[in-house]
Amino acid sequence: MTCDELRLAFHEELGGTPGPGTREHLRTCSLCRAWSASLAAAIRDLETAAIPAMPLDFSRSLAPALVRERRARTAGRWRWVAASLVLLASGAGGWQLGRLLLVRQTEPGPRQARTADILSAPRALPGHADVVPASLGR
Amino acid sequence: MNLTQQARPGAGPSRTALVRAAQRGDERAFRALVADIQQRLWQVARRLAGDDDRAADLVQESLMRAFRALPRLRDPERFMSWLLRILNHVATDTLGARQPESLEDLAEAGIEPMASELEGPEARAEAAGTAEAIDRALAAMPMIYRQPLVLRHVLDLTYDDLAQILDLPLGTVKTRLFRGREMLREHLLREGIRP
Repeated sequence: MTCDELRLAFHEELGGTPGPGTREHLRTCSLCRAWSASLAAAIRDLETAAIPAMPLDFSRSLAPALVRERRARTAGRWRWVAASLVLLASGAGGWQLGRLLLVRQTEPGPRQARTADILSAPRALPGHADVVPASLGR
Repeated sequence: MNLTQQARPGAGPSRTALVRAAQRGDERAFRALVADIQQRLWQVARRLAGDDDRAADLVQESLMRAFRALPRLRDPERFMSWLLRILNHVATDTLGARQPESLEDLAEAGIEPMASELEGPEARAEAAGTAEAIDRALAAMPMIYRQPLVLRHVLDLTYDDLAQILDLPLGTVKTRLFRGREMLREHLLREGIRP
């Protein structure tokens, strides 16, 4: 095993049991022995060094702050839904109203109806001869 | 650390049950979930960020993003792994763009600069404790090496977990982890923490 191979193997085996190749190399190579000792110590330091505790005020305020944010988002979402419904309803209402007005405007009055009836009346349909005014003739 | 296990066995409903209830909008479950995970999350964030203020921002922003997306989490069993993934994204977004800290940055942040670089060898022996030296070592390395190092050695996660959380191939995770360990070792040697 070369020194490079030892270093790779040592990383893989760190925290577990070193393989026979690693042990053999470390027994004979003082450089790698020093390297592996300092690496293992550095990792031990990282794993055991105290991590400053979470500040108490932050810990206490975290959940309430998240709940507040969540409520605000939920309320915001409902406001959007409500606004969308209002828009939809007013849109539908407006459309209905517009349709009604349009129908009223285009609906023929009594005089128009007469003329229209006259103009569109079938002239020679059997059974309708009696409704064709004489003035229009055949 | 088993990412799917309950943090406090026997202390109430499982984490998965809490996640499911929180997904349905149960506020008590949501609070219990925050209480359950905040310490673990803090440990990672504190090591990644290097100081309390930035760690607090990291934890809060990660939890906010997580709880916004919670209803869309399909596998509540993987909640912790999913949350750590979010934390690492936030860390990359907020801290990753920062260059590894200079001595001036460290001094401004109230972290003692490396004695070995400011004073003589005698001062090395009096350098701040190992924990502070670790903070300085982590602050001095790029985020891509810091993340696997912290997740592996603070949370004791497996290589597979790391690959999943960091969204990287296993080989890349190992390479970054090995490089990060080497940087840590060299830094501690330079500071005189290790002979």
